[in-house]
Amino acid sequence: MSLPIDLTSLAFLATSALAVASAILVVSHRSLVYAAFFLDILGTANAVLFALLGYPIVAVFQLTVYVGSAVTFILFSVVMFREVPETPVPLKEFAAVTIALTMAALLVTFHSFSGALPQTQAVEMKELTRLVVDKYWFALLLSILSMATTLIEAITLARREV
Amino acid sequence: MPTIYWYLSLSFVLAGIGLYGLITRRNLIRMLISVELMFNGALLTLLSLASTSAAYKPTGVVLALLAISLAAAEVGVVVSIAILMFRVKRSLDVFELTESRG
Repeated sequence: MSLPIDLTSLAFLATSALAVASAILVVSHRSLVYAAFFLDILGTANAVLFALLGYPIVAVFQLTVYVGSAVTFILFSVVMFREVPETPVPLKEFAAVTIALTMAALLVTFHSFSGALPQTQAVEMKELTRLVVDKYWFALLLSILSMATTLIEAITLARREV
Repeated sequence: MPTIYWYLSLSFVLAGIGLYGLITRRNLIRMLISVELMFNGALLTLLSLASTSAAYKPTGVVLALLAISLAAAEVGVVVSIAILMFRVKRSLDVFELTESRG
């Protein structure tokens, strides 16, 4: 007897429902701490989706670097700020309608992928390393320089006497 | 098995919710969190499109790894700007930053 829905589809549906619910809570929750916490949940759900697409290396990197450090850094930084009530911004309905129409246009544009199944075989680490060293060495160098610069900038800004 | 279109649809929804948060908020940290939401949607789009062919997959992985590293660096800078802004203005409202223009 075969199941009416396969395990990959079930995992995708559960993870995407979690991702969308977290995204709505990130935007709508009144507390910044909870918003940052739900961003953490969203990052984890995204990592599961990357693994389902056949990118285990990116999934692990997302969990360790993005969820584990960046989003947790936001979460701990938010604790330092006093929460102040936000001033309402006008044209919220107009923004929602415009974004919904843009999303609909994107869905129509990419409709040609509706029958395409993802290639789920994982990329080998050896192939990845060769590609980075041979083809993308300049991008790697630039990103290392950018990260070093942002680190210095962040420390300078945070320690600055006002 | 879910098709690429399912992943793309989800990524557009995530990016759309993030864009809504970015437009409708004035708090700097909340805007940063909304941008991160959009980043997650964009990353899912990149990896979904890269998985259309086995030939694109390694390039997609490299670009995704670089993007995640730079997003983490960007978070550090924006949070330090927010800390400095809070020390000076006692507020995180970005509309108050317009007074700082030279």
